[in-house]
Amino acid sequence: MKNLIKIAKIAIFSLLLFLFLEHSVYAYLDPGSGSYFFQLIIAVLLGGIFSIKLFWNKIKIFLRRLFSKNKDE
Amino acid sequence: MSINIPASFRDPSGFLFFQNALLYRQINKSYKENYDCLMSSGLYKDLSDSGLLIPHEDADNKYARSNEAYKIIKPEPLPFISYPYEWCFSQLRDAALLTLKIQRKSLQYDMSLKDCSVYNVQFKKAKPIFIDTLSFEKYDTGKPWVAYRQFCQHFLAPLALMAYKDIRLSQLFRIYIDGIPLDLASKLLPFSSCLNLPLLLHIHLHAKSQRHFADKRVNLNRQNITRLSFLGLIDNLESAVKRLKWKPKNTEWADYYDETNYSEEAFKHKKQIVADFLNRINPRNVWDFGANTGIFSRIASAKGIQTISFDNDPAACEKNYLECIKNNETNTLPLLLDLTNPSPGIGWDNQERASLSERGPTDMLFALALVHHLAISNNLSFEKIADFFNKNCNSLVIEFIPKDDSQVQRLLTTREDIFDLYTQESFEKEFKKYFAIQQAVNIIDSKRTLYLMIKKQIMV
Repeated sequence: MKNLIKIAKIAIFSLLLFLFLEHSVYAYLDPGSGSYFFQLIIAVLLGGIFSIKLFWNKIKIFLRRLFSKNKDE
Repeated sequence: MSINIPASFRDPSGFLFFQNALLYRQINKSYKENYDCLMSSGLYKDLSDSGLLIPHEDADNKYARSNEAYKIIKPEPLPFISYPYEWCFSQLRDAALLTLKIQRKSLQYDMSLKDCSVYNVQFKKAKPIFIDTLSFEKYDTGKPWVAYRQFCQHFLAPLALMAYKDIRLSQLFRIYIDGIPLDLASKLLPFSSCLNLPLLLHIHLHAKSQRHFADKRVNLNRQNITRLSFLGLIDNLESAVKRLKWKPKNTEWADYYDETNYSEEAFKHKKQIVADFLNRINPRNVWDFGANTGIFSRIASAKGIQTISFDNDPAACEKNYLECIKNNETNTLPLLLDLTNPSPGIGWDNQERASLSERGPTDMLFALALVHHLAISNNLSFEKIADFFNKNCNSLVIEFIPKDDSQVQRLLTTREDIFDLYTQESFEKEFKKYFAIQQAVNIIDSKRTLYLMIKKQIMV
């Protein structure tokens, strides 16, 4: 089980890197720049999650209003 | 007289200094554009009005320390500077949430935090407040968050280690002044932390990415992140911090008051004596050493006296802090401190973060039910204890517990009694070298004595 999760983890990470890694080279990076680049990789994923969250919150507000309206009636 | 503060030398935007014992900050010309934006955008007003950023006033440019100066400001002074290795879990967690809240607000004004050091947060009236006015820069659309790594190292990694592994790992801050290295945090965290998506991303994969790219060359110029993605990152970090929780259990002192040998009468009497001593001296501030959950600290803070409640038990400190928040107590600051190894000066030249003694002395020090622990559990002579207290206070409220008290006997059950000099006479003799005993009161229904002492140098 542990190995499976480890393989899945590496697979996700490799996929992310494969999708976003630029092939042109300009400057050597220190660990700080590694963080900077990693942020670029995860930003797309987190932006997506955030959009879904905002959308879901809107649905919740809509349902709550609908429910409280019905209750008032 | 003018003295630069060693904590602010890294920032090219400006620095802090004392002029005639008043605190000032020089803002350099290189930071002009960002400072003007902070002030004119309304962000400064928003943050300072809501108590999130330390307020300041403009000062005379005659205090400028170099030609680089654009402006001199006078930030509101804080009564005490504390450090993350002295904070309990919830204090660090609240500091992290404050930082993210400020970053979110900054984005509303098209600005962003350019650094996220945990040392930019202090506690004012028991609540965290951001103290670095020069940490803001104009938000460059598409540019990733330059302080992302620092936030993970200074807040997320230590909080995760404290919550998932061991609360005492906050002490790693003493070794790593720029936050906990992510590869170390990743190694120390248990596998279960990988099942938490934000921790998997921001600590484990982040650490792997740092290692992977350490010797690679990539083009950063063509990479952008949208504002939505930026907000998504901040939101995800906020969820990560909010999900981290720690509940005190099974620690040494948190249930201390349930196990003391005081009768109800004796405890009440002890509180009354402490209150009387406070009324007699009326100190400006109090340090309560070995404060536990702060019962005696509150006698001082209830009188409007700024009180620091020090204890070496993270659970007692946590309980104390949560109590302050719950009751909106603004004069008590609970802090973590091992008196046998107090916070040293750390950082460059051992001066970036001050030692405990450098942040003193306090006007009044409480050492209640403490000396027997120092003398018997830590083999410290009365001479050394008196010398230490002398360096750190102007007046002292100290309790002597004789050897035949059951609490002292408890300490002696597992060790040989080599403490022939542990007598009340010897205690008084050593303390009289530094202090004048003003009053000594026996606590009723007990064998204990409370002393009020004043430092001899102060009396002269």
